[in-house]
Parts: sequence; structure tokens; C-alpha cells
Amino acid sequence: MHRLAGRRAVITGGAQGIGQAIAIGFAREDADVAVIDVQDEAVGERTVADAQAAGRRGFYLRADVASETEVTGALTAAAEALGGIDVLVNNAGVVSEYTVAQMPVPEWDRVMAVNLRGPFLCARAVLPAMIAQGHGRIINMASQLGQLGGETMAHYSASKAGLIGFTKALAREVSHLNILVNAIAPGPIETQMLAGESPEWVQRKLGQLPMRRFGQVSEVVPAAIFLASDDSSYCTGQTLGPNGGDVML
Amino acid sequence: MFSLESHVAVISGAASGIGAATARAFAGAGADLALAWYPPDGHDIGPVLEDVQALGAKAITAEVDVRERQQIRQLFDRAIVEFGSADIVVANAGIARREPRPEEVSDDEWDLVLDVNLAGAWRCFQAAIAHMRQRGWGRLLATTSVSGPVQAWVEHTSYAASKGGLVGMINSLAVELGPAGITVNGVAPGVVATPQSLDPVNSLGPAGVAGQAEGTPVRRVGTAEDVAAAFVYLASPEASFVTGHVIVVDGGRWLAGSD
Repeated sequence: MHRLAGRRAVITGGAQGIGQAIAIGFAREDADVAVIDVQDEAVGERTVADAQAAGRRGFYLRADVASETEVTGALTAAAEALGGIDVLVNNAGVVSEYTVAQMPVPEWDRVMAVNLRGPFLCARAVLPAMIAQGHGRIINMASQLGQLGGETMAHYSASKAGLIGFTKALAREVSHLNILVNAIAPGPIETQMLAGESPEWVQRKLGQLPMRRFGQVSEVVPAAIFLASDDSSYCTGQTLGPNGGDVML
Repeated sequence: MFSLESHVAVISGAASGIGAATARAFAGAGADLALAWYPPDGHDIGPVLEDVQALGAKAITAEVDVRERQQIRQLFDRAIVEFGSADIVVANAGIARREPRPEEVSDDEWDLVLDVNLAGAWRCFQAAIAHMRQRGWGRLLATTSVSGPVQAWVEHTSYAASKGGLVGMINSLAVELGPAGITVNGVAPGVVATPQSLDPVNSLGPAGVAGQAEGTPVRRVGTAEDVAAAFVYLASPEASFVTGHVIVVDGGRWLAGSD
């Protein structure tokens, strides 16, 4: 049974990692997808090609979610290409590591701009049409670091905690209009982001995880499919945690 | 996605409300079922059994009082004999009692609610753990509530305590059983129209339930099917990295501060 039959979805940060897997996973559940990313066309088109291989329509739009004009342009183009937008997945995010004492102010601003301002701009761009059509789903990719806090990642943690707060506030604002807003806060998942960690960190973290292993991208995608589908039609303002038990909320 | 083919679920409190809807949803997803029900509650497992069989599930039923360890044990043993496994548990049986004056609640009244809602779920989980360890795979799931874990429910202290207790049990078992390949999670419904919530004596009653729609962000009361869909997700192979988690299915009601 295809759980997203006929849905039209936009996935930001969809050219690689978790976003790419969500775009392809959605297409396999019979959704048409538009991928937005800052990556070059060649990178983005690979995701689109995989979505098309699943028999669905796929589009790539290059844009920086931190830029108001680029977001407006990309989401207008996505809505035209797809014929409307039923689901927005705010997945684009960036990370770096600095202690607070040593963090350059522009680095704090950059992380906030992509991780928090971006979802706000994208939601703001799709909401009028979602309100007019009487339905919509917005899924914000947070992180368990927004719940736990991560040392040397205060900017990232704050942006993701902010995104969880944004999710709840927007859910209160628009759920009565049949627009459901939820978040996903993954734990440590084997992606490029994790590949940069030291062996010592990896061993320590594995020991802390109740499941004694990192998660796979394929274990995050189903949470997004659940939240985009009719299965979650009474869930709003929630934060789902595919995190191996690292956070229990 | 979210298929339960080749899995066997034991569901308590399966004759009505959330338990019955979960049995139907699991059957629709391909699971075989061992359904526990409690005849003194006045529900009938018959229609549920017919429905799940019509959906293609193999199913057995048993009269189970979750206060009775032996009855639970027997149902698990039968499921394993008949189907070869019992790798998903939905500990769902629960009761609510109105307690207008906390100072007048007797020990027996308090103990009854805790024994059914909290210890009953514990006994259902316990019956499955050794078998799940052997298989290296298992899903322990419980019906908790927003009342207790995240919200108050006045005149229902024992109920709220039992449901809050379930979350502590879920989290502790999740850590303990994670290395064994067993995940432990819950679903916390808000106001859902079921025989239990529609009981005007011990719960909200029909008018009370209907009156909750307006203060709920999605502007409707929940259905048992809404809750069942979350159980299907948590029971499925795709939820393999979710443990120690409680999915709130309440239409945003808790968030909106409605009580």
C-alpha cells in the first residue's frame, strides 16, 4: 500500500543525506517531489533521477533557504511544477563545531539562518496556498541535540531547539485549518555529519546508546512518511524521535 | 511500508475501543493476532475476531484478566504454539475510576486501577521478554495517556499515576532491552471516543467528549483508528531506531493547554 499516493512534496536539503533519502522514500510511496538545495544542479538531479526511477515526477530547484528571495522563487516554481504543495519537509541544515567562547559571530548567524530562519521562510511561503486548499503537512527536521544540547554545538542545538518551538507554535496557529505541523528529532544517524567524528567520540557515544548502535538513514525516512501520511492525521505539534533511546521524551 | 507480515501481536483489552481498532489495523497490516479480552466489561470479542479474520489474519482469543499472570502466560504460550511466535505486545487493557475526593479513595480502589493499568501492562511485557530475547527482536508497546505523563486529570489521580508510571516503565525497559533488539514505546492518546471515555460515571461521557473538539487545535475528537495507526508505525520494522518514545496522539490538545 502506497501511503503518499498523489501527494506533492517539497524537501529542502534534499540533494544528499537524510533529505535525499526522504525525497526518494516519498517517491516510492507514490508522491511527486521537488527537491530544494544549495548543491549544484548535477548533485540535485541525481536525487531527482532516483525519484523519477520510482515512477514519480521529480524536480530540482537550486536555492539557499536562508535567502528570502531565493525561497520565494524556489517555492513558487515548485508549486507550479507540482501543481500545488501538500507536504513541506524543512530538512536543510548545517553544522560546525566551536565552543561558545570561540565561536565566530558570523558562524552562529549562518547556522541560525539556515536551520531556523530557513524553515520559517519556507513555511511562510507555502502557508497561504495550504490555507487556501484546506490542508497541508509541514515536517521540520530538528535534532535530538535540540532536546539534549551538544557541547561545541551550541548554535546547532539552539537552532534545533528553536525549530521544535517553532513547530509547536505553528501547530497551534494552523492546525484548526487542517495544516498539521510536526518535527522529527533524530539521534546519531550514520551520515556524512557523523563521519567527521573522532573514533573516541564514536566509541563513547555507542556506549551511551541503549541500542548500542547508530541509526541508519532508512530508519529516519519512515518517521517522515508517517508524519506526511493519513496515519498521523491526529498528530500535531509532536516531535518524533528515531534516536535509539538516546533521548526519552 | 509499515507492514506487519510474518509478525504476531498479542493485544490486551482487544474487545473494544483502542484495542479493537489496533487489532483491526494490525490485521490490515498483515499481522496474526492473539487477542485478550475481559468479558465482565460487557464487550464482545466476536465482531473483532470476524473483522480481523476477514482481513486475512489468523487469530486466537482468550478471556484474560490482566491481574492474573497465569491467564496472560497461557495466551502467550498458545500464540507461540499456534503461530510460532509472539513478537509484538500491545499492553492496552485499562480502566478509569472517578475519584471525586482524593482523601476518600480506599487502598482497594487505588490498587485496582494500578493493578490493571500499570502492573497489568508489566505482566504482559514480562510474559514476552524471554521469547523476544531468544528471537533478538521484539516490540513492547503500551497505551498510556496524556493524562499523567504530560497533563493532569482531576478526580482521576489513580489513572494519571498509572499512566505516568507506564512511561517510567517504558523508558527503563527501553534502555535495558535495547541491546537485545527489543524496542519499548507507548502511545499517549488525548480525548478519543471509546466506550471508556464515553462512560459518564468514570470518564467524560458523551457530552464531555464532544465538548473537547473545540479546544483541540485540529477541532475534532480523536478516533481509536488514529491511535491504532501510531501503534502500527511503532510495531513495524521501519520503527527500528525508535525506543523509549511516547507518541502523543491528541490533535494538539495538550499543546494548546486545554484541560
